[in-house]
Amino acid sequence: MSEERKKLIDEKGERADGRKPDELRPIRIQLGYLKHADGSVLYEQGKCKILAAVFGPSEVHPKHLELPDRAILRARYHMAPFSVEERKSPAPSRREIELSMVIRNALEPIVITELFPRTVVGIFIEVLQADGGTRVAGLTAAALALADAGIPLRGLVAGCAAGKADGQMILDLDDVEDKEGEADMPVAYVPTMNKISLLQMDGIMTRDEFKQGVSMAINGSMKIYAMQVGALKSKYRLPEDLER
Amino acid sequence: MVVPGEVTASGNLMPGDNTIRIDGSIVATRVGILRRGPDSMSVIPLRGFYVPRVDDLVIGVVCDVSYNMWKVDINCPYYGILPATDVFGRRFDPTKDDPLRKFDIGTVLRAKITAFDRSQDPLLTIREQGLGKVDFGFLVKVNPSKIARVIGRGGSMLSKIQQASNTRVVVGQNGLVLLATEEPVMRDKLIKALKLIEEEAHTYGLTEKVIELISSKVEE
Repeated sequence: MSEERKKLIDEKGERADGRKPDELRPIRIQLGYLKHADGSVLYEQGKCKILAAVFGPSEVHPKHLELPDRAILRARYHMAPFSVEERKSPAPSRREIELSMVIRNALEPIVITELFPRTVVGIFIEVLQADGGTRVAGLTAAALALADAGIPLRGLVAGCAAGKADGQMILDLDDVEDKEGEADMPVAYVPTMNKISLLQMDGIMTRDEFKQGVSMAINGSMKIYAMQVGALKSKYRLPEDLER
Repeated sequence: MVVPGEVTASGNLMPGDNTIRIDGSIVATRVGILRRGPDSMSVIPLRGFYVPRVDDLVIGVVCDVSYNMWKVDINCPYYGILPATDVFGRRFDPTKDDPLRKFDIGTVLRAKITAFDRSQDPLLTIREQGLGKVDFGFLVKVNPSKIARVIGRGGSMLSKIQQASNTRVVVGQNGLVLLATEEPVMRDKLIKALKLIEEEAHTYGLTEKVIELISSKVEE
């Protein structure tokens, strides 16, 4: 790495975009964004823009894939050709296929699939604009879309990345910090079950840094979770007399 | 008002509809309104799909015919099954009775759910008064979680709609609503009224708005 590289964290402890090390990017949630999906959301986290839509539960095709005791989940994580600086081929890449699987595995513990056996729930995550941390942002959006579709859930899952840049632990990495930094660790957390449903890591950290990173990511996820709850409640708010 | 994962109660209460027990506390599983029963806690969902329940009256469309049953699309994750014996009686003989000639694909049926346990598709019957083939009117789809609002408390909304429009409106618990009219002006008004209920289910004075919409004169 060249010495000329711009510092990710300046002398004042501020990051390139002016955030403090443990500060999240601004988040915007628009539930029910799409008309034709059973549940949908437009989720923005900093420059990341992600559209998530849910269909189902519906009949499984091909038939042999259905399970007699529970529903199956199908997740598709996809990046739009215009989501990154250089046009991305719209065909699903190895990375996207893997992330689809990772997201499905992270959602499986929260969806109560036993309630509607022999069906499928389709989850579509479309990254419209990527700026680091899209897998956890996609997962956060998917949980919101599932709740919007009325699929029974054990809780919501919220995700946030922690990492290391310029020797310092930081929260919610953007694209530059992800690529130039020393380590990146996406974490998804289910607050109501006090469980981590996704944890990946790329780069080098010490054992203590790892522990610190996990707790930072959980704290970040808790903040995102509060925003998820707030968005759901404000969308479906009812007059007082019906609240009784 | 609760969201999935929110703890609604702990202790000796039983988890009711749309709730589960996690570590001794009762947790909501869907976005909805919290209702406390005498010994249970349940959630009335604000979003969702239709889950069949025994004794529900539903409206469906025949989508497949085989030699001894009809498959009926009842707007839910599972197909409704209407056995031929239900229609032809116990003495049903596949060599003599042809299900296809009775109800072809596309036939609209009013039916009642007689059995459903998730391991098998819901079983339907039409052997009751008012059930069977529908050959007149117009079908409208409404979100199943809003059906309760279309009916209203004790059927108040539905009876007012019928009075104001002078049209029979049949509501299926599965979200399909049958408007027994082929008169285009009233049909369009009723469709608008149903969409209004769907969109503004949570607002005050909805009944008045709906009645006003139905009784309004159409501008030339």
